[in-house]
Amino acid sequence: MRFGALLGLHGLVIRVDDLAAAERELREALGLSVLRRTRREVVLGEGPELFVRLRQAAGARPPVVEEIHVAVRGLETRAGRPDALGGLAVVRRVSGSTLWVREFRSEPGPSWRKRRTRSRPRRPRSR
Amino acid sequence: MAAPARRSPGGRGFGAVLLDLDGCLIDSNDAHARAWQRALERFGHRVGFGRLRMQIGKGGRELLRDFVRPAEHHFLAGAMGAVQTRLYLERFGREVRPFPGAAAAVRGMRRAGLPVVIASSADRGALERALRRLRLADAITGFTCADDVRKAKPFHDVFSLAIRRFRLGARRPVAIGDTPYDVAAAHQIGLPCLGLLSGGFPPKSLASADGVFDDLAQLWRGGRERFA
Repeated sequence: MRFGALLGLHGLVIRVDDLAAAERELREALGLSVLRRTRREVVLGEGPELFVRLRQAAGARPPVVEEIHVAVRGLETRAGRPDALGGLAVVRRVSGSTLWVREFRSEPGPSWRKRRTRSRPRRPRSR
Repeated sequence: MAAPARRSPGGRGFGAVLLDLDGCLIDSNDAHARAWQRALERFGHRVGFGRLRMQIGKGGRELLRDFVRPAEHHFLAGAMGAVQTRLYLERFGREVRPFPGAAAAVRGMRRAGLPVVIASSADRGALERALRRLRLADAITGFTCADDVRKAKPFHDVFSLAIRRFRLGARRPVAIGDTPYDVAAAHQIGLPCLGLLSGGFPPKSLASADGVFDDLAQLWRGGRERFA
């Protein structure tokens, strides 16, 4: 796997035993909104660029980071596969977690599209 | 409408031209704004055409700073730009027209011995497509574009690189552009800039240009004596 530059971490998938508590704590701590929700998982964040996906664990266990998503620039094209986030991604197993190395290249698929927002002009700071 | 253009510093004529593409050679600013509007919508942003239209002329990354959040900008600006270019090129044939007399003016400059370098914030694909349409590939000395620099207009980098790459520093170059971002970029490095109203920006937005003309054909017809 080759790429030009590492842009940063943009997503985590965490398995938790108390989905509701983890969601509440993360929303309070980071102010993240809910991108989508099912009975067994909730995706918090703004869109593909920044998300935390919480999955319900089968029983009472310590939280486990299942997936780590990082964004890069200049990913060697042959290595990657298109994904639903609008990226080209390479997947590796790293110490029990799955590492996704992704270059964003196009618009996200429907499941990752944020609700449309009307952007407002920036207001100059008052002195 | 034409305001007088200053001569180059020292009173001698300008000896090389750094020419913007969109709004100068091709009537494409509206098409770029529409493509940005559609691209941003695909990423969940609804932005009015008028707001985007006033930002055309900036590089994609610079334009996006006003419309997306910092994390989106950091991770998705490249993808947003790629989608915008794709959407723009899909409609290029239908929506974009060369300005009458603009390509002929470039050929006239070339015949007069002036090196002409296209210095644009567009990406390479869009620029090469336009040059093919204009049949200007053989008439220009070369080009610099957004892909060549870290920061596109309103930063000076495409102009600085053009001067360096084509060794124009000693030839008293002048920039020609249609947006306030061309003027700002040129003036950052002390480069004179002639403004064109063909890009649809209001005359007052080009007030700091070193001369304002209706379009490139008029500039070359009426301002020829300003060139060496």
